[in-house]
Amino acid sequence: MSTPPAATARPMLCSDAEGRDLVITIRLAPDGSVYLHDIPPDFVPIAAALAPQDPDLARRAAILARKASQP
Amino acid sequence: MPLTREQLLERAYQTKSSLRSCTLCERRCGVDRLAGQPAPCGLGAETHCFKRHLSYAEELDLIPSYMVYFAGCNFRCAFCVQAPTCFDPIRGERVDPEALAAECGRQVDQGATTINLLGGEPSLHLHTILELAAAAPRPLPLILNSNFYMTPEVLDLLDGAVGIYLADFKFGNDTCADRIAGVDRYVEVVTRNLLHAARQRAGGARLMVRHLLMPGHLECCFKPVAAWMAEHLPDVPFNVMEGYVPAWRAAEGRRNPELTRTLDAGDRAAAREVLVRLQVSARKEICA
Repeated sequence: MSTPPAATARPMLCSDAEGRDLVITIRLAPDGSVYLHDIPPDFVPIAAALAPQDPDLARRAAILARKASQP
Repeated sequence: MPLTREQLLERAYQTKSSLRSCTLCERRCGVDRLAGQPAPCGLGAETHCFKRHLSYAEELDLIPSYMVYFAGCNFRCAFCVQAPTCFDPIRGERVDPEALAAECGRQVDQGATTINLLGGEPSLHLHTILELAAAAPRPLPLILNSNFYMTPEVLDLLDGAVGIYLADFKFGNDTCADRIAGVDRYVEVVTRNLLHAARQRAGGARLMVRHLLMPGHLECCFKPVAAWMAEHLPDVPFNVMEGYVPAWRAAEGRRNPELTRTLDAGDRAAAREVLVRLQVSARKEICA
């Protein structure tokens, strides 16, 4: 188990508010399916292109497009 | 009913005081977190955030979701994709509830549908969550994305403060929960809490349940979980996640050799058959 908290933080961030330095995990299965862990907005079109047959990813791309078109 | 700022602050104060002998989770360790005594989770009274970003990987009706990862956890799931980072209780920036509320408000203004509080285990930061909700000039669409191993008092204090409980139902029996995550009384605690949260729906909170399919755990974990959901919470959205990857200690395979592989087509087909048989309208989504 972890040690008790100290007075100062360890300031290493895995990503900041803008998602900088975010690590995305992509797994391509032998059957062609694609699994992703963490999909920031910029990555949605790439994810959809990786698995164009995946209706779930297509729906996410559609939601992103709808959001982008809103003022 | 959403709580007033005064009610939220009163609950936050009450919670912070209770950290003198912490019973926020069912370990009920009684450690004085305000004094920095070593607790199983390692947490003191401060909250740190080690990661935050806008995500399109959650359930479709929750995205875009602004993910806020609080450091520190009371579980040690061998396959945790955030490990070991999330176990470090002071990893990342110390959370200032006022500043985080302003940031979350900006994200909502820019299109985020939900604010997803996760970790680690967010319920160990109940006082911060209540302060965050109190600091927001207008109600934030908060999600508690949790292992659901909290005490019932935590759910009572959250009632009216969060809009959605996104609960993990990871294990179908206590033996697997102990061996893989190091927790006891798992099934009793989580099922009790799921029923408790479901009863809060009258107060406006929504409950959604997730189960991550694990290789080699179809019979012992997935089937009992799916059957329990079908019997007790048939109307609650149940998301079966098929994106298991052998992260952290699962990759080593020493204690849990069955967890070293990913799922195959046979695993997924078998799970779907079970859902059909149980008439559980589970959703297959890519969130993980």
